[in-house]
Amino acid sequence: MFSVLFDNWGTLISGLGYTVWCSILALIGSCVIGTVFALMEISAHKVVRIIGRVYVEVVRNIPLLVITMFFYVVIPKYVVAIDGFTAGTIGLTIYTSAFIAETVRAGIESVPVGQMEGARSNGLTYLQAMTHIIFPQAIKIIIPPLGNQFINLIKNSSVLAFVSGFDLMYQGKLVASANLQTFDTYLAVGLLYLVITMPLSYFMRYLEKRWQTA
Amino acid sequence: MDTFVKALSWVNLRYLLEGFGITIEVSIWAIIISFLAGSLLGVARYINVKYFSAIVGFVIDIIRNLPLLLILFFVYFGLPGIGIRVAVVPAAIIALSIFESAMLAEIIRSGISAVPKGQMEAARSNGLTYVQAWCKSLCPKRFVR
Repeated sequence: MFSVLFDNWGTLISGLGYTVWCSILALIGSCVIGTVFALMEISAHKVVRIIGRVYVEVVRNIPLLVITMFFYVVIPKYVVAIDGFTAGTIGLTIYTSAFIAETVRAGIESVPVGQMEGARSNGLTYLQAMTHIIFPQAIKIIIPPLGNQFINLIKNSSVLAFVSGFDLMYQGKLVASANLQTFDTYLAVGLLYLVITMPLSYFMRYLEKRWQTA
Repeated sequence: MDTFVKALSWVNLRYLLEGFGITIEVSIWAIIISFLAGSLLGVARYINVKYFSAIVGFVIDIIRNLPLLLILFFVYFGLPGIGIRVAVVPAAIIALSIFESAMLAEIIRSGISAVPKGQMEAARSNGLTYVQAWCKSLCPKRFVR
């Protein structure tokens, strides 16, 4: 395993870089989109609520690979040509945004209703109340599941291998088919994934213990 | 639109439905196996036997932190490298079961620890042995959670 690791160090590490970069981009994008849809889900207007709900339910129940393939095959054919990395990142973003929408919604709803009522009765607008009162309290509830979503994101980024996204899994496939030592190669790829995800997951566990609301 | 209608034509639909059948088959097998294995692992993780639990916990953590795709590739492409050849569908079932068992083990472990300890003490003080208390009163409650 280590011989494979050392011989193809450059390839695998560049794949790792793409994986991390894709995950960070997808995290930022999906947090933004997810928050928007979460706010839509708790809106006062019924139509907006329905749109939000439908989006989350549909996207959550479609496999990530299908969504990514859609962006890799359909969009270049009918709209604009995009490369594998972009298609994969967009697919990942859309998929994760639905999960984050659920998480954010649960966080916002866990803040007592009285907070919003108190804020509104003190003259704050909806947006001001959200930004200054509700969100800061919701964030603490949202962060642990969000960390888990980030780890899931890094693992799900492996789907980029199917759309030529140059991520770690893709490079692993290339290396394995080149040197035919598949066992060692995939073991090495797994090790590299663990190098990122295990510290993150232990860090999330540590954070949860520290912020434990008894 | 034209190609969309063609995609739903009977010839193509047959292929898609065959694939759907394989999806269902793999999923059902994986759910059954991973539920059984995950429960065992979750309980093994919860009962704090000295070194065994820690090792099991570590292995579960490793599997949980790997992408499913990697486990799948490893089972189907990697294992033949050391001589173990698996057919496609069993490979998928094995890989999915391994991954889901690890996930379920964690879920079951946290579910079990969430129920208050007092129940075990109450059951013991009413004369039930450890195994009896576990099977009759605690297990059902915790599985529901």
